[in-house]
Amino acid sequence: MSAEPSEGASQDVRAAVLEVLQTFNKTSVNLEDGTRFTEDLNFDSLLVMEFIAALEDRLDISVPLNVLPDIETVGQLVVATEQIVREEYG
Amino acid sequence: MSSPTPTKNTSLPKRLADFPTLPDALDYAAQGETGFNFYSSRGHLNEVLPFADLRTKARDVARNLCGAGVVSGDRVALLAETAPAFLIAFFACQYAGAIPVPMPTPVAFGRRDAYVGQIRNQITSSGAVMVITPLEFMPFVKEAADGLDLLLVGTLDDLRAQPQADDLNTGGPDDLCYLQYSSGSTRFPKGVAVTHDNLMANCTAMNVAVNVSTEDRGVSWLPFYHDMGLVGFMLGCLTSQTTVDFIPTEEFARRPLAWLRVISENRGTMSYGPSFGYELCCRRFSSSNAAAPNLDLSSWRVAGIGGEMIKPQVMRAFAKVFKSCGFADKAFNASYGLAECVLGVSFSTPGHGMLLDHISKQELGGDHRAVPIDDDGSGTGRTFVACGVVIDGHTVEIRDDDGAVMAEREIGRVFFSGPSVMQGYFGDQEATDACLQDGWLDTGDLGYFWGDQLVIVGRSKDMMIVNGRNYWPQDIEWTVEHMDGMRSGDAAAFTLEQDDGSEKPTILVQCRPSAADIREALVDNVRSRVQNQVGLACDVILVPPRTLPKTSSGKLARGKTKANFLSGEIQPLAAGA
Repeated sequence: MSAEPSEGASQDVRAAVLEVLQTFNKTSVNLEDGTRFTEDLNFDSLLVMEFIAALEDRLDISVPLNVLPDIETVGQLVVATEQIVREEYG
Repeated sequence: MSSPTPTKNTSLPKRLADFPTLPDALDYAAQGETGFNFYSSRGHLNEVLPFADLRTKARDVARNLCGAGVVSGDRVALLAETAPAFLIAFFACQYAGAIPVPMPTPVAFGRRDAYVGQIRNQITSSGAVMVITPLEFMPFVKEAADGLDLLLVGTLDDLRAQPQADDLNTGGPDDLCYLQYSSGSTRFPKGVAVTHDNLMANCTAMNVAVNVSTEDRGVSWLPFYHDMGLVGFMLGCLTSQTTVDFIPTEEFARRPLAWLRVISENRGTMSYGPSFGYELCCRRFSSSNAAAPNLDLSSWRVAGIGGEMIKPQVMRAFAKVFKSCGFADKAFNASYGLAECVLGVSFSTPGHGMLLDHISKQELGGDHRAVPIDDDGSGTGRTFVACGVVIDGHTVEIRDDDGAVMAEREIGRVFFSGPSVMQGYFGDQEATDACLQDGWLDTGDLGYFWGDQLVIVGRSKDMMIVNGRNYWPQDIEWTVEHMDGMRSGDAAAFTLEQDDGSEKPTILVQCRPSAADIREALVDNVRSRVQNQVGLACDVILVPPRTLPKTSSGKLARGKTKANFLSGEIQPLAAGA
C-alpha cells in the first residue's frame, strides 16, 4: 500500500487520487484542482460510491459519508483524502 | 466477536403481524432470540441487536422522550442511518406514542445546500418537535434546524441525557405509526401517514404472500428512509419475528457483492432490491475479473424485485452470472407497491420466477390495449414483467379516464383499496383529496390485468425513478425557472421510457433567444445547474416560447406536455450550430 506516511505522503495521496479518478474519467476531461465531479465529470450518486470504493481500496482507508456533501471539486477531494490518511496513519 | 442472531426461535411460535400495534409486535418478538444484525461491506459483523435488546433500549429511551417534553402524536425526525441507534429511536417513539419521521442521509459529492434544504423541508413539513441524528451528520442537521423552535437537536446519547418520565403512553391501532417522506419531492415534500392498523394489514398480507416461515432469514441493504427498506425489511420482518442481516446502503453501493456474501454465509432466504441493485452486482462481478466467486446462493428463496420498472434483461443477466453459485432464477419475485399503501400491493408466487408478457407497441400507445405478440426480435413489441397477484384482503381496479372499470388486457390507471391504504399526506388535505376518494387510492400508475397478474407499464403521475432513486419534476423545473432569464412555466421535466425499461430524464425548456451560441450555452447551463442542484443528468431540449401546455388553473400540464412532445406536436428548436 502506498499510504505509508512519509515525507512525500501528500504527493502520494494526490497521485493516488488522480490515478484512481482517471479510471472513472469517461468524459476524458482534463483533471485539475477545479474540476467538478457532477458538472464536469458527470458523476451520479452510484458512480461516486464506486469511485470511493476504489479509492478506499487503493489507499486502504475508509472515507466517511459525511465528508461528501462538502466536496465539489478534485482539489477538495485531495485535501479531504490527505486529512483521512493523516488521521488513519498518524 | 459476538455471533449474529439465529434464524429460528427455539420455542416462540411464529405470528404474522396479527398485532394491534407496533409496540405489541416488538413485545412479542422480544420473547424470542431473533433480531437484527449489522454488517459492514467488508463482511464484518459490526453490531447485533436482538429484538429483546431493542425492546429494552427503546423503552428506556421512550422515558427520555417523554421526560424531554414529547407528548402523544408529536413528530420526531430521525436521520435514518442503517444502525441500531436509528431503530432504538424509532421504537422509542412507538413506546412514547410519538410519530417517527425517517429522513435521508447524504449520498453524493457536493450539493450540501440541497441536502440541508431537503431535510429542513421535512422537519418543517412534519412539524417535528425534535431531531435525532448520528454525530457525524450533526453539522448538516444543526444547519437544517437553524432558527426552528425544537426540544432537542442531538444524538441518541444526547436524548439519553434528558430526564426520564415515569409513565409511557403508547398509541392505539388507529393512531399514526410513522410518516414516510419518500413520496414527496424535496422542495414540496409530502409525508405519507399510516396507522398501526394500516401497517399490520400490509405486513400480514406481505408475509402471507411470500409464505414466510420459521426457516426464513432476511438480508437487506435498502435504506430505512425508503418504504422498501423501512417496511419491507425492518417492520415486515420484525412483525413476523424474522431475523434480518443489514448492510448499510452506502456500503452496498461501494461493494455490492457484500450483499451476496452475507446471503451466502448466513443462509439468507429473502432479499429485495430494485433492478439496478442486481445490475450493480453483475457489473462489479464482471469488472473484478475474479474467478467464480466463492458463494453459495442456493438458500435464496425469494429474490424480490420492485421499486422501479423491472428490466427483464438485467435479471436474466444476473441469473446467468450467478447460476454457478447456486442461484435459481425461479427465486425471482417481481412485486409492485408504493408507500401510499404502506408498501406491498402485489407479489408473484414464490418459486415461480418471472412471468413475461410481450405486447405490441402499436396498441400499447394507440388504443391502450395490451395485445400479446411473439417476441421475434423485430422491435415491434415491448416486454413487461408481471408484478404478481394482488395481496389478500385488498382490491385493485384498472380504470379509464372516466372512472369506468376496464377489462382484462385494457390499460388504464391502477386504483387500490383495502386496509393498507394510508390515511393521507400529513397536513396536506389538498394533496390527499387529489389521490384518495371513498377509500380508493389513485396510485397514479398505469397497468393492466393479465389473468390475475397485475402488469405495470408506466407511471402517469410525476415521480421519476432513475437508478432506484426518486426525483420530482417540480424540483427540476423550479431549479430551471430560477435561473437568470427564465420565467415560471418555462420548464417541463419528465422521463421518456426506453425499450429496455429504463427511463431517460428529459427537460423541455422554452427558449426566446435565437442566436445559436446563446442557445448552446443555455442547454449547457441548464444541464449543469440541474445536475448540481438535483443530482440528475438530464437531456435538455429547447422548445419555442408558449408551447408548454397549461391546465385551466394555469399550472403546467406535464402529462399533456409529454404526450405533445411524443406526438411531435411540440417540435424541438435547433440547440445550436
